[in-house]
Amino acid sequence: MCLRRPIIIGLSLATGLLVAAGEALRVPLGLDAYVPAPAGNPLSREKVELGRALFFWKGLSQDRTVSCGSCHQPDRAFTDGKPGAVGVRGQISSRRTPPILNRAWGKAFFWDGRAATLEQQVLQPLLNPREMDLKAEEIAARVQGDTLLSARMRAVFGRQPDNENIALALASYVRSILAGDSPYDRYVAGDRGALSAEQQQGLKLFRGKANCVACHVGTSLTDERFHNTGTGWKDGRWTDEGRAAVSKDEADRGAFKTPSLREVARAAPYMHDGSLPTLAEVVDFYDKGGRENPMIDGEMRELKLTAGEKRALVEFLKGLTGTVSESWPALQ
Amino acid sequence: MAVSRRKCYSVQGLRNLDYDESVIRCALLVWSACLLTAGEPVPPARLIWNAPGANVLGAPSLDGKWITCVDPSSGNLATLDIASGKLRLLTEKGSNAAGQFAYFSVPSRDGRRVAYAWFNEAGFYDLRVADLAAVAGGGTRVLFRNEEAGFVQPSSWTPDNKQVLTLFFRKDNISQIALVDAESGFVRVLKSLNWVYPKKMEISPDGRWIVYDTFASDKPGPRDLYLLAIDGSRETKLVDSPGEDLFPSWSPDGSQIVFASDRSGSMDAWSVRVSEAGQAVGEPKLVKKDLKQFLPMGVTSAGDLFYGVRSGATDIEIGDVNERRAVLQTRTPGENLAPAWSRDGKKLAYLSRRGSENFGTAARVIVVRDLETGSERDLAARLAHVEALRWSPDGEWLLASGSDGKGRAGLFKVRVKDGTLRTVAVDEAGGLGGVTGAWKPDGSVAEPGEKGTRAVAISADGKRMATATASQILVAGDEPRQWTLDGVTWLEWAGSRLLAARGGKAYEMTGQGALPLNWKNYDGGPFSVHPDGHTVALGVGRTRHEVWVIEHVFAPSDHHRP
Repeated sequence: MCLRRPIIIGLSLATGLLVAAGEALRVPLGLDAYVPAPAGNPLSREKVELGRALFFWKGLSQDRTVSCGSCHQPDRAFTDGKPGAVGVRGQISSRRTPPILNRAWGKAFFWDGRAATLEQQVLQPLLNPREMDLKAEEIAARVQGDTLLSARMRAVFGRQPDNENIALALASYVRSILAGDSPYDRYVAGDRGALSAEQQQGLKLFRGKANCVACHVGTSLTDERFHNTGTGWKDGRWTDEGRAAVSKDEADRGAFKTPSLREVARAAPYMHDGSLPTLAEVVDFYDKGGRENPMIDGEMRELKLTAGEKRALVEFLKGLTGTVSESWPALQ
Repeated sequence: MAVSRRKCYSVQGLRNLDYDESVIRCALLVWSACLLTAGEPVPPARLIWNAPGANVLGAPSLDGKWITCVDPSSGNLATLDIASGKLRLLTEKGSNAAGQFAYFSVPSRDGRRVAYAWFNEAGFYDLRVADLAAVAGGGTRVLFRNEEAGFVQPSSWTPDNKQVLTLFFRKDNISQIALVDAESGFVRVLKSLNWVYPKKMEISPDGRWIVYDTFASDKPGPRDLYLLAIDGSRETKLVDSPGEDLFPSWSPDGSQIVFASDRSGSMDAWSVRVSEAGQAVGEPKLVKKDLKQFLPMGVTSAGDLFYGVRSGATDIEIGDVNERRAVLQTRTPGENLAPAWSRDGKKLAYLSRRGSENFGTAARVIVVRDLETGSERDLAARLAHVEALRWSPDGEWLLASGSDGKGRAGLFKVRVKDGTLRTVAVDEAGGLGGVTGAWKPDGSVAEPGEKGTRAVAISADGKRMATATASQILVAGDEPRQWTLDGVTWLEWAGSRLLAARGGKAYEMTGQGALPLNWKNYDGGPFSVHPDGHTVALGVGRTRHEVWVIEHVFAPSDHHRP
């Protein structure tokens, strides 16, 4: 018998530590230890914490009533529970607030992917008239006008606040928002009791019959690609061009970026337009093969799930609720 | 050797990992010179191991005195002493009959331990460590065992011999670059890749970097080289070109990396110097053109390169089921397998190995041949791997058993006209087994309903359907039949006669049982019977691995870090 001292690995796929500037950012179970950041904007505690202050500062909206955190609320897994994001003067967007968990690994940003990096993305809501409605020249001016923020910006970047370093700080903060350590992560790491029997059935369906993993793949459960499931098509016409508005490619019409499913049970309503209030309705939507339209994704097909299988899938999705950390939460 | 195609199936899906079916074409003398700078004398390549069952699943010890491998006769982990040529078993439980065996392995830098993958009794791979000093009585232990990451590939040890760089392949078709503590089994996942995996990765001699190759994105395309800090703090793209850059290996002093690249149109050897900060210094330098395909196993402290090649060839033969056959003359002789006849008998589809080496398998393309004109064309289907083909009754589609670009094993329809891909079924369990099926006369696909079905065949008139399970062949329809026979991998109707492939041989199933067919040199894979019911197309030939070494491949002038 060769097997000596067997070590069955249970929870050994443990948290990682991102080492930056001599400090460590704890990465939750289920995520990679390597947290990508561009060479021009390496993560640091100071930048992340400065970005956090900016993220929740309403001074970055025209009437000083809205901050990034107004829609991306930490207690709602950085969403807001509304079908359309609400901007200044009560304006309601046709798209819901997108999840921003684990965006450090993101490859495209916004539902239509019009930003390629977080640094490109973070200022756009500030400039959108329907969201925070600032002019480009107002952004840095607002920060410069705040004595404390301005001083912190100078301390971190060594120069006066400008749009570039504001974007760097905001991007750093968003990059630090990490979700993991869910029952699903513990199950995958070897703890076979972390998911209930029904949830395990749901996971099997997720990877198999229900074909969810065709798009919801990887540690953040998103392929970072764009898919047309039919949510942008209603009554024989497009209600939202989706990715095509950016790519100008007809094949992208009605396609939206796959959102992460991390914390999905806490992030209702669903789909790009918040049109489905519950996970059960989401599962029903996919069970029917989405909404047929001229550009529907090739992965979409009728699933023929039983009522029990649908329940199992929903239960599994609840098993993706774990820990969401933000800022520099576990400085060791 | 116990390693079977089937058991590697899901990994093949990630991008064609398959030792069993590989053909590695290597110009040995070309390669022997490829890592030398121009003008250097070419050291001869020296053959280390070419016995039957020789395999290239291991790596050399740092002192170059032995390599790790799999014992061909038992599937046990072994070392091969290079001076004596003797195998020394490091495990005892390997058994081709019981289906447990060792797979990838790599020795620690101090030569005292070997990390290895073991196909266990539960049907997946776990990571184990063998202690060479205590082998005789059982010096092995399980380091990592988790069905969710059911395929593991130990690749390199840290310089302090405390951690093993390991590639995990998970059930959800992502691969993970991870460090596994060699004592506690504690795992630290550094990086995950969706649907793709590195062909080779290695820790730098100073222990600070991991070099690996992968696609520039998670979509199919050329590979590039990356350096990932071992502490997870950063990653840089080291080498980027429009072509393939792959198979990186560190020089013993860590000052440079040699790799294969087809940037100039052929697969050549290039080198790039690496700074302390993990950046490429200067442009990559062409070392030697026309490297072709090879399988690097490792570099010793003396700079000796151990590598594998596979000799032999497979071709397609056509002729009467019971008589001599002729070799089909194709564009790529020696690379072909798994033929499938169209229902009108005018076309033949088959698989042909193409592209760069892939730790075993060159990518397979589907070739459609017009038998009247002899013209051939490659079918651009977005499949990561194909095992077998069957032609639809209307001649419009091929049914391909394999895996798609997202690593899902299944059955797929490929339109002959343009390669359009349609998924018929995927292996919902995400297991290691393949998926099989066959066309019905109405153009629909019969999928085996029963779990464990190995092969399916439907007669041309649709009146008989044969299925093979692990131990039986069952015929349903107008003349139900049943045989007790294990290990059947392929079934085909020849008119009313049922033919079966089993254990590398072909049989006709009769009232007297399985009667062997005299198919000389048959490769044991999928074959196809012409609609005339007596002409067969089959793969013939065998390949086998050889291990070679070239001494001192790094030129002394390159032994300093920039």
